[in-house]
Amino acid sequence: MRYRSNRQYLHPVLRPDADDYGPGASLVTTCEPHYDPSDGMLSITVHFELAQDTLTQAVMAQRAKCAAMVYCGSTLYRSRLEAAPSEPLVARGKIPVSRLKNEVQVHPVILANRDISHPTDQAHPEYEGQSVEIDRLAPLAQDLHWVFDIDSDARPVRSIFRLQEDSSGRLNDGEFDVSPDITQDHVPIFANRGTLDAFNLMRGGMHPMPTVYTSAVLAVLASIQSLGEDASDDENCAWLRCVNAQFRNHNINIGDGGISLFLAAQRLLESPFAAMLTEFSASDDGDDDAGGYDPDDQGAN
Amino acid sequence: MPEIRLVNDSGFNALVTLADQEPEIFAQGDPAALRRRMEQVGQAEHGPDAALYGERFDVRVSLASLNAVAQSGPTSDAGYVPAMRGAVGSSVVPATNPLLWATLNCFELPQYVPMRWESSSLSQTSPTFVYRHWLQYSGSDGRKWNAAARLWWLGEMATRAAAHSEHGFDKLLETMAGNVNLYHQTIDRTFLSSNPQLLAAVWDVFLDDNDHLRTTKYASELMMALNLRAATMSFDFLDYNELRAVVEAAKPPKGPEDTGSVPPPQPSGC
Repeated sequence: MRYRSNRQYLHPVLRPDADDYGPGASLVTTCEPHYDPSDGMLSITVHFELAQDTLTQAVMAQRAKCAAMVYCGSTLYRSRLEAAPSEPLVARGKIPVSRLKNEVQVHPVILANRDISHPTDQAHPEYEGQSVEIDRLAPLAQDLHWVFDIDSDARPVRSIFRLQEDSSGRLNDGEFDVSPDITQDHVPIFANRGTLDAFNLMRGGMHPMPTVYTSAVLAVLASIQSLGEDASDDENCAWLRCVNAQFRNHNINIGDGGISLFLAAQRLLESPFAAMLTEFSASDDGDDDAGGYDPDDQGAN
Repeated sequence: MPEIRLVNDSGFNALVTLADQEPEIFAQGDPAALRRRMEQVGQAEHGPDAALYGERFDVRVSLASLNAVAQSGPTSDAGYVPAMRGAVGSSVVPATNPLLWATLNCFELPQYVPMRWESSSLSQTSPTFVYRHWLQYSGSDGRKWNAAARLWWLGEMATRAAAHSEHGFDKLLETMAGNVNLYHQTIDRTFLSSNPQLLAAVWDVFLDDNDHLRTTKYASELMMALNLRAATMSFDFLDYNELRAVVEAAKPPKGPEDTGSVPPPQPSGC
């Protein structure tokens, strides 16, 4: 084997998968895609929350800039979003949706705006006492990339589910039905009007409807399992592509030798019961009268 | 405008089955026979009422001329690109649909597809050959080997590059189609094929010094050098002139066999 080059950055780069800066340093981004059918443009806004003094100062002094690269592999489309000087921690831009199809990736990054001498006193001790020379457009910080899908109506898909009213009368109050169909972009969750109103009330609360979503995800997984090998042929089904991507992200296999559907559903939803326990525990610590989770309470379900 | 019905997923799966079991039927130039067999296989797989066709697609310009030209024998891909772009249109979204390419290859291009790949190292009756050129459309392999998609993407790459290049569309198309060593590598590298300014810079440098970069070895070394550079800086924020300078700097030096010079004698003992 011949080593041609070391692809690792020679200067500190704030990343979620490396410790180039000290504890507490972080870059957290949020990405908001919004489609406006009136002009056929997809607006993408990326907010940067930067907790690292050296990098923050570099951004504020315009030695560095917040930006994002938008990439669509199906159409080989690539575009950049850049923060304006008046709003240095927000990168935004508009993209014609006619150039996008299927999966779209948004890669947030903070780049050197010009060749700079970058202080490393707050970087990991292995850089201490040095000031590194950084080329223009070299990355100073990166976040994991965001992924969303474009559905057949050109809207960005951020949830595989869509709540839909069923007015046929077949569903009683509190009941809901899930109907995965690979010819559709979303998986509909059907409920009557009263139940849908209850869903909407709960969605604003602390608990993200674990009962509903765990059941719905289970129905989706059962549907995928019944597809067998065809489930990997997800080119034309937005929700199937999203779930397959999440399988890869969470290293989940529901095929032969894989885990049970029930366990897979919990992992896809990032263990809603564990999250609820943590939340009860936190509220218990803060207020003795809050009536939190009590493992000895036999009446709790 | 002629309208065609695209195969749906069930129809496509029936074609995949046929490619595996009866590959010879694809290259026979008889789309009606292929359609009949697809319907028989589809009905066997999904029942007698199986729907094997879905979306409708307006073919803007008939592909008959492309088949007719193909009967006279192979020429450069560049000559066929206008017909394909005229038929499918220049919007990229329809071009991402594998069912469109499968339908065109199987039922609209009965003469063109077998002619285009007649000198392939694979047998025309092998399942791998048929799947690759009639049906496969996935990633860069699909853009290279799917007969109809290849033509469309050649035109698309030339169009995108021409928007920034020193050269016009026709020159770029002819150059890309005539230099597959480099073209295939630009298609394989998505950081390059998705960046029109970088694409223009690479082909402009090639047109300035094409003897040097015509070989697979130098084209590979250029791509490798650009890829390594892409890992350390964001090409997306450079303009054409800056990218051109990057490409010039990444160009591999000519070896002695290319310059005609005789290497200096080595000191003894080395």
